[in-house]
Amino acid sequence: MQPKISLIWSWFIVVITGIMFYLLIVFGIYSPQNTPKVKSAESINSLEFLENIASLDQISSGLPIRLIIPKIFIKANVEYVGLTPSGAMDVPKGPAEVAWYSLGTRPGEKGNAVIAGHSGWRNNIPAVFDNLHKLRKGDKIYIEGEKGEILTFIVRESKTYKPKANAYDVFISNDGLAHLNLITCTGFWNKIAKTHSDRLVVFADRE
Amino acid sequence: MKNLKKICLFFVFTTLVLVSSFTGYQTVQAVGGQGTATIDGAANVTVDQATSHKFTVVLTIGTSGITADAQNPTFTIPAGFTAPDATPVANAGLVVADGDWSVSAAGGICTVENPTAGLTVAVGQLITVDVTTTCTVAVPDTITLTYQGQSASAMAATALVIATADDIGWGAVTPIAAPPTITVIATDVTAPTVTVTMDDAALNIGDTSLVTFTFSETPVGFTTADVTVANGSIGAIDASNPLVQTATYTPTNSITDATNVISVGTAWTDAALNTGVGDDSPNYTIDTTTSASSGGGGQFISLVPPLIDVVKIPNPLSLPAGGGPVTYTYTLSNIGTVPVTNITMVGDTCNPIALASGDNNNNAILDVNEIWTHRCSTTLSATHTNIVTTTGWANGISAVDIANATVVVGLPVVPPLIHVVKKPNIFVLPAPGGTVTYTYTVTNPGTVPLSNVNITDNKCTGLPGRVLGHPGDLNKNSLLENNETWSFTCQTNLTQTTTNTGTATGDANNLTATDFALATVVVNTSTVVPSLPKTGFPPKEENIPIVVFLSIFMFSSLLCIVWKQQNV
Repeated sequence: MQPKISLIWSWFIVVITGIMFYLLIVFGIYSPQNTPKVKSAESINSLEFLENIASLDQISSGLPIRLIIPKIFIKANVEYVGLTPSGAMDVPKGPAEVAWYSLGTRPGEKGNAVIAGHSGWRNNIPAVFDNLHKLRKGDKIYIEGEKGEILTFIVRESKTYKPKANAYDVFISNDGLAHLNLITCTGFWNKIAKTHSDRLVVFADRE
Repeated sequence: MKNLKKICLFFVFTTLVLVSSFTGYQTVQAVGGQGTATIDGAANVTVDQATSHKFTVVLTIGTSGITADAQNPTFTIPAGFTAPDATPVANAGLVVADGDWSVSAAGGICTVENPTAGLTVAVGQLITVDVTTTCTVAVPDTITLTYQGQSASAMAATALVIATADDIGWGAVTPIAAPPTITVIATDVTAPTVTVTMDDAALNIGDTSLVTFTFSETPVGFTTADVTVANGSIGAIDASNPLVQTATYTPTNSITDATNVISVGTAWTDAALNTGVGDDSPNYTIDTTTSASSGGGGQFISLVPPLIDVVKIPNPLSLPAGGGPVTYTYTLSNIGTVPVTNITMVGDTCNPIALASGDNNNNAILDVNEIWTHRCSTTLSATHTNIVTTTGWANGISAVDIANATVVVGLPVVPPLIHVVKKPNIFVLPAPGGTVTYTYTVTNPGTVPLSNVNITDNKCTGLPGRVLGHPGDLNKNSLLENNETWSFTCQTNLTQTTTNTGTATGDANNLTATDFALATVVVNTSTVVPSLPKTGFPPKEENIPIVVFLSIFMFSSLLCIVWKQQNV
């Protein structure tokens, strides 16, 4: 009888293990096809990219097309957004894109150009600004314009804000210089408010 | 009688003066007496620009008993002399310009017998002076003959050549051996002036304004210390063009002030050390404060309205043989400062209006200075005026332009076309509003000259209506032709957001062409600085526990089953 019991036990182990793998796949804990649609680490060769940047003229600003941050392997298309009905800056539709606040300043012009991106996505799909917090002072951010021009910005600092904090400094500057500010969510998930507890803003200055 | 002999000498002079390039000369002749009449040299010829163009010649009478008379000396108006009206005179035998001659003697009384004045001459024109003065003087005496102009014309340095003392039988007059050359050095006594202008008359948060200092002549010693600014600071002055210098003005943060000027003082000079005349800029407004919004957690900022322009040209303009196909070409421009989206063009009788070119980046946004070309074809059977209305949007504000074009069918008549572009000098005014100057540029995109050109605006009353004698009328025929541009300005005070319509009309071939131009100026229109976006989703930990829970539950159940079977 003992071998028979061991056989049944082994059969259960195999079946249960299979079910667990199935569940893991269904719930997205591991999903090979869920690699981010952003141009992430695998698609950016930083050195090659920087060489290309160096060969381009830093000319005046047009409409932004792509956001490129070699430090955290981002090369994301730029959507143009305005305001939500509640008066907040709108957000990109997907995890791979970033959104430029088109009612404000263009990247490269005097003032604060603002770009937002998601941090986290449904089913744990990676999002473009998952690693925004890794940017440090001196890191470079590039904006590719509609005519192929490249604008370079240097990270100055990072700050966290409450969701309803006064965002004046994020959207407005009056020092006569061109800035680029990147926004994403950070902190813990507030189940009641269905939003993160904080916003991370990376402030950058045009080089 | 003795005294009379000594005193009563009558001289009749002829004057001279002015001459350039060593071409003119004058003669002075003794009449009925003995003696010598000489003309003193350079020291006695002056030009005074302080009050006007003024020329003085001094004749010294060295001997009694002579009389001098005029011999119609000639001279040339020197280059640099600007008469009020430079039209050459037909009668060149008289003097000149807009001033008066006068004469004086140190020891006697003189009168000017023929002070012809009020005539005009052209620069470089050779004219003849015929001024006769009579003086009763002591001998020796000095007689001063002066031409005093009435306008403050500039006078360049020049040279006078005077030939004098020509005895032609009236007495023993000693001629001057050689014509003395009298050099007139025009002293610059004109004060330099400056005009201060700004390119932004309504400064908001983040704004700066380029300040332009336009000088009448090159300034000396002009620095930022000569500039007084209100509620802000002025940057370094760019003097690469000494006559048009610029600097950047930055307003102070967190202030609101509707009355500000930038002033230039007088502590600077021109090269001749004449003290400069200062100036104040036009008034400008500052609003660098923020005010809390009623919701959304941000601050108010003003939004800039869009501005577009459409020109419509039909081809052909007329179908004299009867009905036929016509293609309308619409040229759409963004003449504002913000990109324009959601462009629609609606024609009353021609559809579809198709975009032919211009959106080079294919983003469907009419970018600033981008020009799109649309076309629409139709068939006309009768004379028709087609109307197209174009609408675009930016910052929640619409821009509209309406264009008309008539095609004549069945008659050999070319219809007129007219086009007007209207631009405000500012698109956003802070509360409570302020002055806006609209510039209207009227052109003729057709082929026939336009008569009875008329320009009006429904909310600005400073336009002329029927236009007469416009400086843009190059050939002065009162017709707007297709190589001419007639510009107008109209200033009005706005206290609320205003869209006004400029209308230009012109006639030709018994038809009237009409064009409209609309422009919106926002007064204190504001919107919230957005709240920070909501960019996150529940973190991975929110999803994992469900799976983990299920896995643990199933694995525990399995272990229980196995344990029970082993214990059976």
